[in-house]
Amino acid sequence: MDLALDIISAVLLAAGTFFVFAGGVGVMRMPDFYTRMHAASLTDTGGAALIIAGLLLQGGLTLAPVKLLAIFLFLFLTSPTASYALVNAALLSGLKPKARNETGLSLPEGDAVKPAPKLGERGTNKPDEDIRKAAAKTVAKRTPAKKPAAKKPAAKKKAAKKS
Amino acid sequence: MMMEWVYFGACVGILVTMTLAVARGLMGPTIFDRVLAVNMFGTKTVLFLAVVSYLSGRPDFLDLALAYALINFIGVLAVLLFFQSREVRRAAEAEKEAGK
Repeated sequence: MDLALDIISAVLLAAGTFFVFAGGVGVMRMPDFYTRMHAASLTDTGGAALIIAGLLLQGGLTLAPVKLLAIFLFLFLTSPTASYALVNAALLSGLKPKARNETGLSLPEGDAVKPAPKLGERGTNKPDEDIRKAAAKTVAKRTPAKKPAAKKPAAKKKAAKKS
Repeated sequence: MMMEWVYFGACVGILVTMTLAVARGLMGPTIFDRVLAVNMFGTKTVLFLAVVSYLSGRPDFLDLALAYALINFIGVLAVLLFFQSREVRRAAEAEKEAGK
């Protein structure tokens, strides 16, 4: 019985370590921010769940599994939230996803190199300017003392270049 | 005896991943890559502490892991709020200077 538990938890721990490591490699090697985010956010939750499940089986009847469950619940709630907030902040600040022909990966035969579509041209997304206006509105709502900024496009472009 | 080696392997794997996350944080072309790396480093630290607590047989490390998870989440959200409004704040400053 003990041996079976040991084997199950060893398999879970190995799988979790593999997931975590794959996430690390993905964060290093993916070509742009959104794909990196994809690698990191999935493996953050999945790897953590597997590793903590593997440790839970080894706890026995002590307080340790309860603490592990608390950690797991907390990670399970906060990790997707943090990923969502990160992508939301990146999108609102105007960072665009790269098109496939900009990523430096090899293209399949016959895939013509065309200019990357802009965010507004994909139909479902709002135009870029609208997103920036929405961001300005949100920030103005949060800090009512300051004026809602960014009416001059020249000043905005300068600020965007700085950052 | 077998479980010690499994814990040790998991520790090494998580440590390597943490190194990769730090490298991305140092390289990261945008600020969001750096925040992503910090977030990932924090999550992996929690996991690392949990595994080390079983490897060394000291369950008090789990409390540290719990506290670290809490602090990490709050920290990432605070940094994100700051950077999310940075561009708008800069534009407001530029407008103020132009108005003078």
